[in-house]
Amino acid sequence: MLNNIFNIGLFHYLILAMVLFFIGAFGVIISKNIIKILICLEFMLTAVNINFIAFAAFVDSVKVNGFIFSIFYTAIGAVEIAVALVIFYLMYREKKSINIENYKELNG
Amino acid sequence: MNEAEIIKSITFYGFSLLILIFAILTIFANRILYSLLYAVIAFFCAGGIFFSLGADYNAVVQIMIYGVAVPVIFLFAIMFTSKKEGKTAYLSYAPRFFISFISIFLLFMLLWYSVKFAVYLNQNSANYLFAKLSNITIFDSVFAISNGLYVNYGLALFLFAITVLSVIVGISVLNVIKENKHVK
Repeated sequence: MLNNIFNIGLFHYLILAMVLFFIGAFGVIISKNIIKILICLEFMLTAVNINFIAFAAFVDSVKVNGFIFSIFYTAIGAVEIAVALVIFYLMYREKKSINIENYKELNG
Repeated sequence: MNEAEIIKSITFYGFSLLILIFAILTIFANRILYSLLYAVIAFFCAGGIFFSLGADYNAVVQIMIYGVAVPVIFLFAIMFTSKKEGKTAYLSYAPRFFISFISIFLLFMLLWYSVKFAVYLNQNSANYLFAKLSNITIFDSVFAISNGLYVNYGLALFLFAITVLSVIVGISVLNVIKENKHVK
């Protein structure tokens, strides 16, 4: 038992990523502030990045394709946040509110 | 249990606890600026997790993008959208100066002793600290990433560059459409 706790393997990193992903999803669901929702989305992206890198380090330690996809994913995440914040700012100029409840009339 | 395993488990559990604690604090912080600060700390600790896995390049990218660049964008969004009413909650000038001075001093001491600790470990072990944590050494990972990024996945990198270009054009077009609507 003690050996399992202190012998860090792939399983520990997957558990960490899962917990972080659910904290992010929980924050996305319960937050009212749009900026806080976007920050929690970043947590979910980071959890997926941890999964990519853990699999690359433990399973594929020669070509490390997971590292490369993690770089793509980080960059795409940053671009996505930039676009989301621009759309949020355009919506804010109409409504003057950062509460997600005030955007109920959006289609979808 | 040898020295490398102990260091590895301390690194993993320390960074994991910090990530989870600050992620939960991000959700439940009252002010949005505080939640952004907690998120920055969590992203830095995620960089530490990457570093302990041997992915130093990814750790640097994580800290540069999620730890510095994205919070700056968030900070501008908070500045553009915040209201005036909450400003009285700030501390007055004198304790704020004192607290910031003490924090900077503590941060400097922390960095100083981390460097001393790293040098001590470097001198007292056969390999460097984090090279022992995983099977991947620093030069292996940099070589594999450059090989994969520019040789195996060169086309994906090209497509990503086109995506970023289209995003820049798209953001500009969004602003132009909105401004024209206001003129009418």
